[in-house]
Amino acid sequence: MNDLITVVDWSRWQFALTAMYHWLFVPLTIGLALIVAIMESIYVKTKNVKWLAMTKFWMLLFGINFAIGVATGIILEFEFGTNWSNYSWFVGDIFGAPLAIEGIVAFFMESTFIAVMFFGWKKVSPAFHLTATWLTAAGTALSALWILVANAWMQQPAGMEFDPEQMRNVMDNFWAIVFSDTAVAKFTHTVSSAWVLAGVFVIGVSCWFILKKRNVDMAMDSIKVASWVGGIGILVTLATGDMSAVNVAKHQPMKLAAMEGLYRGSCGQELVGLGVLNPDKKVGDDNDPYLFDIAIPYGLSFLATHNPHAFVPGIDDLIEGIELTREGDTIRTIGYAERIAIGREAHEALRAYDSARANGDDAGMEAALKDLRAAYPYFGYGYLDSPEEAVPPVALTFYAFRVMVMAGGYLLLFFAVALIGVYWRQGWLKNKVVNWVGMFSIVVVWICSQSGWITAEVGRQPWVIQDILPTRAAISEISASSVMLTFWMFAAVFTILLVAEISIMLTQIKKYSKEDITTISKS
Amino acid sequence: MNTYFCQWVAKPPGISVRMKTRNENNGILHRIYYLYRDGFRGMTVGRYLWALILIKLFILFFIFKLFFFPNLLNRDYNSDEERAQAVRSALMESDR
Ligand code: HEM
Repeated sequence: MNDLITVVDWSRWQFALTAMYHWLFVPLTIGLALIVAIMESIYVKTKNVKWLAMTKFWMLLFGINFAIGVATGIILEFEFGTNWSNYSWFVGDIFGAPLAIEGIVAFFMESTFIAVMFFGWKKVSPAFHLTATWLTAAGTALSALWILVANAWMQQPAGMEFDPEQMRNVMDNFWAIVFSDTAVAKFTHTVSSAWVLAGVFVIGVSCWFILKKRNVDMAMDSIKVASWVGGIGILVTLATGDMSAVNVAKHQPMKLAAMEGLYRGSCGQELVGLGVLNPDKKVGDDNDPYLFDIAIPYGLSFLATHNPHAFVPGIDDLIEGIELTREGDTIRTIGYAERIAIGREAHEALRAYDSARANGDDAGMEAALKDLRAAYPYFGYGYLDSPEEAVPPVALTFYAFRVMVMAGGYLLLFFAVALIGVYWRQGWLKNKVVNWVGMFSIVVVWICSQSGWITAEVGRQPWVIQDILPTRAAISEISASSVMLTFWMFAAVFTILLVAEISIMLTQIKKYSKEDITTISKS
Repeated sequence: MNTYFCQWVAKPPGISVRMKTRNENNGILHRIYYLYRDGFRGMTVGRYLWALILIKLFILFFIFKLFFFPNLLNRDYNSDEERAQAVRSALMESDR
């Protein structure tokens, strides 16, 4: 058992490490491709060489990021096959063919259009070149589609049915999977957050140009495009973040409770804007969950349901199966002890199905299948020993959510200042402190984006598929030491890649800012 | 300064293309071929990036995938039925 925990833990760390490193590159690729496409469109329309220069400069940074980030996600697929083989089999079609097709299509699409982007300036017409740039931008966003749909399915399993004979889930409604609430929110929230990230990146780098008083005009125009992309991006991110919160409340209420550090909910539940959790707080005890908190009245009820008076359950309420009406009456829902019992019935039904099948007993199979279908929504609870096991790590989920949301508020202000500054108050953007804040914000936006994934993925523990399969059952029979070894190998490779990315980018940015006319004319 | 920058950058930065006018009547395959060929030849930073991509792919596929990340179910079982059985045993045992 101890060894199992170590394998599960190391495999989770490994998955988190690879996913987070991968996610350092992806949003910049998605967002920067859009910014470059807009810049090139302006160049094609105005024929102003400055816009061509901007397009090419940012395209170079896009190229560096793309080259270093490309294929880092493939490691996640390796890990599915080795560390999480039970899971990979159990999820069936969802991670199989569509992901492979998407990978191949994205690869060919991107390698063709990116080649035209970089090699085709004098070889194809401006309109064709521009089309290739826009298709690259669309392709980068679309290549995130299926993996996000698959991730959403794990949070809200829809459109699939479990086949006990194949021991895997079989897709029975493709559109229900693609258009589930969670898939729509996840895709839109993720892609718009990538626009935000790239917007901040472009503004941050431009601030450095301004600080150094090099190519200020170009930097100002870059800020114009970036603040529009980022400004619209942040509004969409906030709207889709709100949509995500409503979905989480509906499909993963335990995650929402953890995001809020909420143990006992109420009607008109307040939202903790800022708070410090009490480390001594345990499930079911009477300790105050916060050492300190600043709360917004009715905030959580509104965020979770768009109704300021609605009841939002806390961790203890969910475990006990309690919900309150607005009048304060208690309604019983299915508590976690009961879920565990139902989950175990589902397991028994599966065993009964197997033995009936082995004996060629059709009637027995049918009866067992009926029982299995009825209990299947709580199948995963059958693996839990106690209701407390269904509670995710509260502190990490709580703080990660706060970091994302607070950074979201800051970024709204950031883009407002950038837009006002670049159009009406250019003096602001020439202020050294503002330049430093712009550069520092690059770090903030990456932390914000990573915190989003921490909230989503840590908050859904212990489930790898919500209510159906806990993480510890998904693991393969492998040794912890081999996972540890590859963990450190990945850590080394990714760190080298990251250092390479940052240093190549910095070298190019510096080089471009310093070039004088003689060198330029000779280059 | 800005104009200098623009002129300089107006040449494809780092990944600049060595220009050759090709016969417009060349077939589409030729044109694609020259696009890539000239593109690769004219690269500067791109060269370095390609080297990085190739080394990375080598490490990922030849070292990690080959030696450390076999697809266990594909490696250890010959048919989907056997794989289903293996997962069934694993999932039904881990609840005990
Ligand atoms: C203040 C507004 C925001 C709210 C209310 C919000 C809400 C959420 C919620 C509830 C999740 C979890 C979704 C799930 O578990 O399925 C999430 C995830 C995420 N958030 Fe935010 N978010 C906000 C701002 C931001 C910002 C500004 C960024 C980045 C620039 C961001 C990036 C992400 C990412 C990358 C994820 C993981 C992918 C996903 O689950 O959608 N969020 N957000």
